[in-house]
Amino acid sequence: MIVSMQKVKLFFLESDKSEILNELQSHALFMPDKKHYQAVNPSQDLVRVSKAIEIIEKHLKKSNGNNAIVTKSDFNQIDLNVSELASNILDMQNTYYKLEENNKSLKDRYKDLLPYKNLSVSQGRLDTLRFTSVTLGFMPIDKYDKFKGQMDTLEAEVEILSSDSDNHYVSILVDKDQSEQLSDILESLNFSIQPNKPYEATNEAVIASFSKEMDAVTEQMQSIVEFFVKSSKDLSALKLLHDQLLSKDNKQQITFLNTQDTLYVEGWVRGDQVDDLKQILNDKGLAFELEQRDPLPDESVPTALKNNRFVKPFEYITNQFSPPASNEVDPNPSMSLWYWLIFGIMMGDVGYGIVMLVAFGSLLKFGKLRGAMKDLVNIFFYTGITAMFAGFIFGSMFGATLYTPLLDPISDPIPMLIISLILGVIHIIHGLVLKLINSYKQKDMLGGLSDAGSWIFILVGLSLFIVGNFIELPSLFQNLLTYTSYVLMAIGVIFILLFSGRDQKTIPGKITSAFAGLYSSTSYLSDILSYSRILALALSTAVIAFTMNLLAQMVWSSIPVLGILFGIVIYLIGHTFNFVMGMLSAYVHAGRLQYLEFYGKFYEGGGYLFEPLQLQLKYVYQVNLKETKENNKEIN
Amino acid sequence: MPFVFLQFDGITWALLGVVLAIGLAGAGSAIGVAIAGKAATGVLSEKPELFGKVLVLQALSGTQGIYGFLVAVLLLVRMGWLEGGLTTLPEVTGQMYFMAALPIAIVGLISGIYQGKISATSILMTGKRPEVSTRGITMTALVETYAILALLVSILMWTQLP
Repeated sequence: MIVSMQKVKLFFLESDKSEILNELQSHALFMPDKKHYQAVNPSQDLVRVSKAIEIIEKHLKKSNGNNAIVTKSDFNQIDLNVSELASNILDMQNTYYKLEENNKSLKDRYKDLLPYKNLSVSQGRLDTLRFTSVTLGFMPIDKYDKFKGQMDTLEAEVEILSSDSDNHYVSILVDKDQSEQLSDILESLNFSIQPNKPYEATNEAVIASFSKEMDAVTEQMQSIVEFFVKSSKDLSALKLLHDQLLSKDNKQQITFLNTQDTLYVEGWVRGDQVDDLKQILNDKGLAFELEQRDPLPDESVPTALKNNRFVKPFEYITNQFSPPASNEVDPNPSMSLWYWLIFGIMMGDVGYGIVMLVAFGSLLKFGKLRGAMKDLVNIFFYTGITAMFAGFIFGSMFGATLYTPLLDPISDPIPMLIISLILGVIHIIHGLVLKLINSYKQKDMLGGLSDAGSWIFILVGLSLFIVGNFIELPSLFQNLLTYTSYVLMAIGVIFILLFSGRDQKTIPGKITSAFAGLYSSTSYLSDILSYSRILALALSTAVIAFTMNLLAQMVWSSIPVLGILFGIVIYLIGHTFNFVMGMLSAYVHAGRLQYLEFYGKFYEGGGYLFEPLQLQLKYVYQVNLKETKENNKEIN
Repeated sequence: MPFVFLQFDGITWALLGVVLAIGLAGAGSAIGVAIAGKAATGVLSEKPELFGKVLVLQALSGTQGIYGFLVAVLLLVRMGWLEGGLTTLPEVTGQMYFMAALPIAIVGLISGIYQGKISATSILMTGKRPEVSTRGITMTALVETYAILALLVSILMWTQLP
């Protein structure tokens, strides 16, 4: 049902601003007009807290502190300690990064120096030699003999400091006069020179101090990680703070028109909630003035939907297509039934139905889902029931035939095909009736009769004709049905011929559109045939389940013992696969039948949803309006 | 005889049908899913959080392969291949099996590829505007209609096979 809306003008004192905003936000009754919204960047605090949450969660295997239920007074109380904790965490993270960088550069230098550990003098002193020069570096082992020979001719002193699997690390002591010659030789031998670093201590001492420093840095880093892990106990507090700040930012987005002491805001309230709003503000003893009026004819009004527990989740399916406009019939109550039925038939298996009921039922009970996820899981839970019933009719339990079924689409698909098409005809007629109602509401009765009424007559007439001619009946009934069907179809055709050209001025124009109206019969034909997919998808789930059973059985009896194990594995994997693919196909194609075949007949959509100013909850599951911890009212 | 297959016996005809049903429809799906997958990986590299939505879109063109598999198994069951001991099948009967496989084989191949293309563009659309992914799913499913009709015709032909 689409609820009527009231345009509301609210005046109040500037001094009450924050309290009024709080009340409006926590009760989620009031949707300010677009013109009152301004873009606001996320506050520094919010950015800091969300970063802090991210840092802590990175150090946890499993996140916690989600889905808390808090009272309203707790929610309004911002804890400064937590905000301080958030900045602490960020500081710690920065320190951590610096330490990490420091550690890395230490490690590099340490690695560089390690091969030259056995150099007996400090590197700093090498540069101060007066008559000789010392070169450090490394070279491939297989070139060493050649190198050694050439060094001997230079009368250089070569010492191997260390070696690994590929290279020798050496020091070369040579007379200063020959250092130029030396560098030429080294170049030709692929010798890599290690630049001299002015360390004062011996390499051994320097390496020891490096490793000590590294240990200290690692220890510091570890203590920071420990701090992060320890802070995880405050994660729920951080998450609460996040939602508090997010809601606060949301309030900041609203701007008011003002005089010196008063503020003014315009917006929408559901017709049945205006009194609640007044009541709430009165209870708080706030001074305000509220003016309400019905929407103007040319105003674009937000759509507020109010449906029972069964229909509500299906609103998601419609909203994904396009939210209803505020002046049309709510399609959800009709659509939900059809979606529910068709989805179920497409799954069509007792076993799968039970799995859906149990799996999605327990998700609903224990999962604390919200938003679109909750709606979808709800839909799948409900359709588990129809899937089970369709399964009873097909006599199929995980693809195994339990008993001689009422309908056996695998061995004889024709009756099921006919049933699918009959469902289609009823579905389409239902859509056309809704179109009639819409035309009546929009005071375009002629259009309704020509586009919808005429086709209702024709489709009903056609159905009667088929019943009369293809089912054995007493001849009196048969004649009665046949002639009634002729009359009904004739009325339908006359409606089309008379009313299709109602907007055309000229006679030829009227005649052309009359026949163009008749031409749309082809689209009705294809719409009805489109429902054969109900059979096709029911069949495909059933046959694949049957195939998996067959495969499992073949493996089961092929090898002793091991075969049984493989058989079970194939059975489980096969049915899981079929279940998931079946759900996907049914979700897509049940939706398609609603969107194209059903909504195509009457639904206009293009509305926008009523989204009141409300608390922004990303982590917190629920804020209770009364001061108890029980679930007394759900937000959203 | 200019054509080898004019001399096929019944069993070869029937098996050829099975091969085409699973082979062509499966190939169509494989190509389609791969086309969609290319777009999907691109989108995911920028927006990894869309994995769920993108995966559904990518999986859509996988159904043709399943339909082909379904028809192939139905044919094998009907001709008694799985029980073993099948020795002869009249040539005309074999040709009927072959014909029953053709609708899903041909349409599965072509619609699988084209559905993959629509799927890919829908994935790109989802990358830019995640909130309209359901519309992308619907548009992608439109292509599949013809595969479903072909499946239906294949199955209707199958019901009357001897």
